[in-house]
Amino acid sequence: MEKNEKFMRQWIGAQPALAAYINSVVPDFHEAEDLLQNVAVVLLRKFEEFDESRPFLKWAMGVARYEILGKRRSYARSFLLFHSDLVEAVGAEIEEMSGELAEEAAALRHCLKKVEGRNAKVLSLRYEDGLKPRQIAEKIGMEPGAVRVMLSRVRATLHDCVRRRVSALRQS
Amino acid sequence: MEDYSQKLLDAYLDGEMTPEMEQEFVSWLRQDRENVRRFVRITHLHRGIRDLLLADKSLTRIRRDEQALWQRKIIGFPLEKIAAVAAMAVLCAAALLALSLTPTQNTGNGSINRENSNESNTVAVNYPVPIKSPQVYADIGVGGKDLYTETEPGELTLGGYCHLRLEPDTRLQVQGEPGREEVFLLHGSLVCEVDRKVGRFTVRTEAGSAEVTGTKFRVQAGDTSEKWRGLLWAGLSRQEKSSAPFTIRRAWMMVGVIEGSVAVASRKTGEVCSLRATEELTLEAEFLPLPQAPGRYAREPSAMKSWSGAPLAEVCTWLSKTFEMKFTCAEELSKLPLHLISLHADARSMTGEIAALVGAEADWENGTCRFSALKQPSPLISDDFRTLANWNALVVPQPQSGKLSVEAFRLEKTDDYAGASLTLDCASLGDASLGAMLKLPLEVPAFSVEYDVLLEKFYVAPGRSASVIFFHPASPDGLKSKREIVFSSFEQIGSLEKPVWLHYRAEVRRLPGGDGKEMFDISEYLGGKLFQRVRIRVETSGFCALLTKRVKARIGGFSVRYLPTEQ
Repeated sequence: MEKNEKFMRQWIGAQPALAAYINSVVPDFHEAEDLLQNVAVVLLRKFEEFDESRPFLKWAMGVARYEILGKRRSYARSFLLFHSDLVEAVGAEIEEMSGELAEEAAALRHCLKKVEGRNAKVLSLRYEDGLKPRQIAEKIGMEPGAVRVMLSRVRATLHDCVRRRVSALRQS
Repeated sequence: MEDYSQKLLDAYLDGEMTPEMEQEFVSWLRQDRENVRRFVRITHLHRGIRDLLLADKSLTRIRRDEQALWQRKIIGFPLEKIAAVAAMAVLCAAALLALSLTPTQNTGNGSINRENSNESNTVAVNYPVPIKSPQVYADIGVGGKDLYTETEPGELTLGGYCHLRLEPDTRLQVQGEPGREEVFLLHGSLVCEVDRKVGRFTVRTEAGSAEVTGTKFRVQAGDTSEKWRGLLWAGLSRQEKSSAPFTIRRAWMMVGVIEGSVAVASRKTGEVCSLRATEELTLEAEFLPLPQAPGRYAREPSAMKSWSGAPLAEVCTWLSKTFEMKFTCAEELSKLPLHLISLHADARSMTGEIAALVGAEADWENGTCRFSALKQPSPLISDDFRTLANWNALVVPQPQSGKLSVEAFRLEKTDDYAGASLTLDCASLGDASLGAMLKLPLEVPAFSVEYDVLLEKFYVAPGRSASVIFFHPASPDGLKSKREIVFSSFEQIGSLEKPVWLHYRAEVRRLPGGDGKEMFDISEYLGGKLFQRVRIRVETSGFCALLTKRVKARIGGFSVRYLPTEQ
C-alpha cells in the first residue's frame, strides 16, 4: 500500500477527533478549517515518521498539538491557543473522548431535525450564514440579548437531546 | 455559577468574549477537568450543527439536480446488440454471467432501476468489456476500451456494486479489477452509486481522481445501521480557447459527493483531500499555462488574502496549480511575500524538489531554477500513466556546458498497469538547450507527447532548429534513422510582440514497415493545427524520443499519453 493511501485511511479515522480538537481551541469556523488543512499537510509530510505499531490518533494529536501551538500567532483571536496547558488538556480529553464524540455526532443529526420554527431560523442564520447574534437580531427584528438567549437554549436543548439519545442507544 | 459558565461558553462560541471574560473563561477551564470535558462537548456540538446544516443545504441542491437528471429516460445496453465478434464472445459470456449474478433492487425515485433483469437496460460487465449498442458505443483496441453515449444517457454496472449513469455525450474507459473497479472519464459526466462494503470504486480523469471506499462513511457518520451509498457526480470538460493561431486547452473535473465520503486526488500533485457528503470540489488548470511572467506566482498575493478562510476545495485547487510541473525561478520566489514563501516551502517539502536546474527566465545565462516533482507517487494517480507529473526525481550531475550551469534530473515512474517504467531525463544538449528524453517500453504502439511552451524570444539563431524530435533506434546504424524535425513555425511566433503560449503535440504511431522493419508515423500539431506529418522507417526493436527546445521559453503541462491503436 502506498504512503498516501495508508495515510488517507488513517486520516479518515482520525479526522473527526482532530477537527474536534481544532474547533475547540479555534472557534472561528474558517480559521479552524484552515488550521485543520495545515495539520493534514503536516501529518502527510511527517507520515513516514509514524510508527505503525502505535495508534495513529495519538501520534496525530501530538503532531497537531505542536502545529497548533506553533501557528498560534496566526490565529490571534483564538486566545486559548496562548494557554499551552489548556491546549494540552483539551487535546488529552479529546483523545479520551473520541469514541464518545463520534456517537454524539451521529445523534446530533437526529436531534437537529427536531428544531423548528424561529429556533431553526436563528440556527440557520448563525451556522449557515455565519452571522453573529447582533446581526441576526437586526435581520429578524429581535433584541440581541433575546437572540443570544435563544441560541443558548437551542444549543442546550440539542446537547440534552444528544446525551439522551446516546444513552438510549447504548442501553439498547 | 452554572449559568455564568454557560454564558461564557455561549460568548466563546459566538465570538463575543470581552478580555475580562476571556480571563474568567481560562480560569474556569483550569478549575476542573470536568469543565474541560463540558467545553469539548459543547464545541463539538457547535461544529456539528454547522456541518449538518451546511450539509443539508448543499444536499438539497445536489439532490434537486440529481432528480432532474434521473427523470430523463435511461437508455442502457441491450444485450442482444452486443457485437457478435468471435473475439468478444468470451467477454460477452462473462458479461451475461455477471448480469445473472447482479443483485436486483429498486431504490425508488431518483435511483437506478435494476428491478427487472429481463427487461433491464443495465448490464453488469467485467472489465475490459467492449460493448456496442445503438445508444452506447464502444471503441475496441489497445487503450480503446471506451464506452460512450451520444445523445441519450446510459447505465453501467461494474463488478455488481458500482452503478454508473453516463450522461449524454460521455466517454469513459472501464479499468480496474474485481473489487477495485474504476473508470477513466474522458469527457462528460457520471453519477455513480457504490454499494456498501463490496469493493472500491475510482473515477479518474485528466484533472484528478475520486475514490469511494466503504469505510469512510461509517467512520464519519458513526452509524453503521444505515444503508451506505457512496454517490458521486463527476464531470470532466475541456475548453479550447483559441487565440489565433494558438490554442490553450483547459480541463476541469468536478466531484460532488451526495452520500458517503470520497477521496479526491489532484492529478498533478498527488495530494489527496477527503470530501464528505454534499461537498464539492473542482480540480482544474491541468492544461493552464504557467504564470505569464516572473513575479506572478501561482496566484497573485492579493488573491491569497482569502487563503486563511479558503475551503478545502480551494486549497486543493491552489495546490494543484502550485505543484504543476514547472520551472520556478529562485529569484522569483525570493520576491514573494513571506507567507507565500512559507506556503511554498510547505508545498515544496511534500515534493521532491530539485533545485539548480537550467537557467531562469529572468536570467537565462546565470539564473537558477527549481523543479518540482512529487517524491512519492500517489496511489490514486500513479497508475494513471497519462502524465509525467507524478514521478520520482533524482539529480544527476552533468558537466557544465558553456556559460550555462546545468544539472540534469531524472524522473522515474513505474506504471502499475503495464509494469513498465518510463524515464524522463533532462540534460544539457549542445549549447544551452533543454532536452527531455523519453524512454518508452517496447510494447507501446502509439503515444503522444505534448506540452505548453511559453515563447518569449528565440534563443537560437534564425534558421537553426528550435525544437526537434530525435529517434534513436537500437540498431547499429541508428544514426541513419535519426530524424530531426524543425519547428519552422517559430519564425512566425518570433514576430509577435508579446510572449505567447503555444501548445505542441506530437503523435507517434509505430507501424509495421512491410519488410520486417518498423515505421514511425509522426504527426505534429502546433496550436492545435497539424503542421507536419512524416513517416520514417527504422530497423529497431526499441526507440526513444528526444525532445529539445532551443528557445527561451518555459514549459508546462508536459504529458505523455498512450494512444488507441488505429484499427
